[in-house]
Amino acid sequence: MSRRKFLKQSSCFGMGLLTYPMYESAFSFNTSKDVIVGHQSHRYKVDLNWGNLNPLHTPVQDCHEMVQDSKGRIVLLTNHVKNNIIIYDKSGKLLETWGTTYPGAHGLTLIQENGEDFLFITDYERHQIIKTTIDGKEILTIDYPVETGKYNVKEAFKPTETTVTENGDIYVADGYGEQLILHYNHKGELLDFFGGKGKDEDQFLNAHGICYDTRNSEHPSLLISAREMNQLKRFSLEGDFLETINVPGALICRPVIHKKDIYFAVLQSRNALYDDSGFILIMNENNEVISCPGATAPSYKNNGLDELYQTIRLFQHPHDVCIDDDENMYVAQWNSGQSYPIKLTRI
Amino acid sequence: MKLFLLFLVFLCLVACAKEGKTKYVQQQELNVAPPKVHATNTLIDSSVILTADLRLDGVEIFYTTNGKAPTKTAQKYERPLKVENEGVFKFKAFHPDWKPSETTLMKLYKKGYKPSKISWFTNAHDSYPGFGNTTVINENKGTLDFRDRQWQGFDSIAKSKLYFDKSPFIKSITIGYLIDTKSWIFPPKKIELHLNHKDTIAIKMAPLAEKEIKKLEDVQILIDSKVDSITIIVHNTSELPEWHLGTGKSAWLFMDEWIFN
Repeated sequence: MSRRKFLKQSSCFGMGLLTYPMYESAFSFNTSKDVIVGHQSHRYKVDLNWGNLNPLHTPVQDCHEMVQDSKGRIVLLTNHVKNNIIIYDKSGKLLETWGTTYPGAHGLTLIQENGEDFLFITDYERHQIIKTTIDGKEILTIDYPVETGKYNVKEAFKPTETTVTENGDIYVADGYGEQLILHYNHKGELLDFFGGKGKDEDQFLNAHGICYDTRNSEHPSLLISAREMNQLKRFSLEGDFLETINVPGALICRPVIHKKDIYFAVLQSRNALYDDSGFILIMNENNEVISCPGATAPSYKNNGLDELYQTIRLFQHPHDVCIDDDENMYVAQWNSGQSYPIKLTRI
Repeated sequence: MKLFLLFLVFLCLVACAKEGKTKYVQQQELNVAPPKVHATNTLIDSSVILTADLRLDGVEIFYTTNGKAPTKTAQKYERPLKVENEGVFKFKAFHPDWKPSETTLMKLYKKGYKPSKISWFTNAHDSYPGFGNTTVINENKGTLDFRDRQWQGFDSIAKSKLYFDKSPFIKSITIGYLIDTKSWIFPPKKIELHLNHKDTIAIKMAPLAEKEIKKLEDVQILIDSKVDSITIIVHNTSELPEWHLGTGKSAWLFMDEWIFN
């Protein structure tokens, strides 16, 4: 074989190889790579365009909280009164909107009763908790708890979150108000309350979020974030303090339990030189932080967690997370340029 | 012929190159966060230790002391710095996969003459008394958190008189203040100094050029006099600008340290 003939054949062979689909991605002039955030078992790619809508038709103000309903749809709560509730499918396609009367829409909790979805909305400007059907029909309203003797005016009650137990009991965190945790029966009648503003172990500074933890089925309990204190606190259903879990540097919003883990939006890094310094925090069933998308890798020294802080300028002010049935995460952000939620795809 | 074949191979490679289209955010689209910088004290007596950190694998931090923004040709930060002289330190983080960070600025001051006494004619607001009457001369600077007790917060004019033993020659006074526009904390509008009951110096401050700012700032006023006593009157911004949520209302004035050099 002549050298010329060899070259001709080998270059054709090369063309065949390179055009074969298997090698399609083996060669690329594009040196960019997908961003991957998070650590260990919980790592994600980031889609900033998920759920973007025409702000003239479907605007958002702050995106406060998100849940997934039993049909698999993603339900977003915003304090924009043109459409307080925006419902997407998992691809980010708009399905429907409703709600025009919740100017302080903040907390969103989904429950099922007899196979039907219901929502609890906390509104810190209406100073109320409102229970609705999934399509927006109001069926219960809870006003400020004057019977506690702790509220002289309704304006002092600024509820941020609810959680509901199997028997229908409702716990409300008054996170922007008197820092009380209020316990109601399913009819909205006050049973008792605990907490209050302060730095003691059974008190709160910004009791921002609450959730019902049934991971230990024999001893279900309440997890409550004390955002300003960078702490997560556990209480019994009777309101007895059980434990504090420190998350130094992290202004954690509500705890969101998904399978065995707890997920948090972190509004800000405590000691950052700038405001929009939020990130995501994931804790395992042993209360150990295992991943912080957008922030420092969690590390423990002398049995204590090192201060966490933002390392990548990805998130601004994350306010809530929703984990879907594919383990992907949706991040709703407060005060972030009226931006729509961010989707994180688990890898 | 050889050249033609090589050209053919090149064309093939280009044709085969993957477009790389993806819905996900790409590296080099995002910045790393600015380094965290800490000084053991921002007022230097003999020396202070300056540390910079960003706990992200692969990060390199560079710094300057000449006022310029750091590049990768600047001094590389490798260990804590012992600093004996006042100056402005600028730090920036670089990473092969991400865009460089914004700059973190740390200003260090030389400790000055300490007044023997301070008397206040106006009071800080009850919610922001700092550590009391001597907060602005306690040789400690505040952080960016206005709740930090190194700050005294005023909602009107701050006026006080300071006395010095042995009439030291004072070249300048530096008045440190906080800007946090989201929290309605603005720079002083005007500062008046009355030296030894006779000379008066008045400084009118320029309005803010940017809207959303949160930073530590100071103004240095030349005195060049021997000083027995000095009355300092700092006026807050009496009307928030049109772009601000609180337009027309008065701004907060937060001051931490007054340094006499």
